[in-house]
Amino acid sequence: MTRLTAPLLRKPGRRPAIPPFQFQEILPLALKNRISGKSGADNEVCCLPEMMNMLSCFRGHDFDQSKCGKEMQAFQTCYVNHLKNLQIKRKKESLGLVPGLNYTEMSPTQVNRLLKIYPLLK
Amino acid sequence: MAAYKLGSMIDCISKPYKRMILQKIQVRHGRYPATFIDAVPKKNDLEELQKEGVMKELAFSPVKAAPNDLSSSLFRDSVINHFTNIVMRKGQKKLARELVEETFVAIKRTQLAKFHASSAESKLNIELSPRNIFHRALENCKPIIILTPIKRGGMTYQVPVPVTPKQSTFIAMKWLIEAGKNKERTVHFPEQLSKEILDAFHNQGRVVKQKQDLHKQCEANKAFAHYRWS
Repeated sequence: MTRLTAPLLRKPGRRPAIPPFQFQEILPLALKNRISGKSGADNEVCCLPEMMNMLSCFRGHDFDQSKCGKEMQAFQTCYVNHLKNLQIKRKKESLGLVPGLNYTEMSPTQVNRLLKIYPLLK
Repeated sequence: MAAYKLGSMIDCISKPYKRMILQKIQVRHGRYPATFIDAVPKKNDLEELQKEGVMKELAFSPVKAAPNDLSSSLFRDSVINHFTNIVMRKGQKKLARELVEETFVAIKRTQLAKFHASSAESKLNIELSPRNIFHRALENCKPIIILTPIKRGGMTYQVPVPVTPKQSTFIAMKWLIEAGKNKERTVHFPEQLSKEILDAFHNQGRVVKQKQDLHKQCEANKAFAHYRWS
């Protein structure tokens, strides 16, 4: 007769240990020679405080513009200046790679061009 | 650029076909190189340029052909010309010009009647120039902020955004003309338009109300303002 009692009553033992996780280097662990330039100061909405100021003034004076001249002026000059600065920036960027530029002043395109000419050492 | 390419494409086509295509296609852009400058028709502007000291540089630069509505007349007003162009439908410029002129005549008549009916003291405060009235009315109709639909996360939000001076001028003109067209069948367009312009001049009326309503909506939607991309 087969002996069943002993194997059935035995407590289950430890399962075999999982082998340690092996780190796989899927992409090379080095900086790339290119930046995406998706994030940055550009994403901020311009003239937001001025706009809020003006709208609350409108609300306060029952949408009578004549009483909010100062706020309106501030808002308009802010927006016009913003457009002007944007234009200047675009003009600068259209010149391509200019010597003597600080990296904070460079556009993503300019940085990418620079990295193409002088790639990172590996 | 596209039109430039089109031009070079047309150059390759044989003559009779080329003429046929050129009659059909309207190429609406300046073919001038960057060295060409705009024509300066007014004497005062020329004098100002001379004062600024830019004249020496400009003296030998080539000049673009003047647009056909440019003139050195004292009565030329680029804003009113623009307004006429927006009144125009189907390229009927002559009709548009007549309508605007009739509007100004109607404004003048109304103001003159008011002038003669009022006392000597209040006569000083009555503006009689239709041009000045038009410009002031336009100022009163210009929105400073507008709503624009922006899609975020599957929803379309009406987001308040600032307008450029050019854009707000166009909106004001469009509103005035729309108000002029919203009338009884028996009333003529110039008559209605003159009424709307005079109302706007006094900071009242439909168009000013429309502008205020837009500002109110912008105020109500100011929570969405950060959805705007600069």
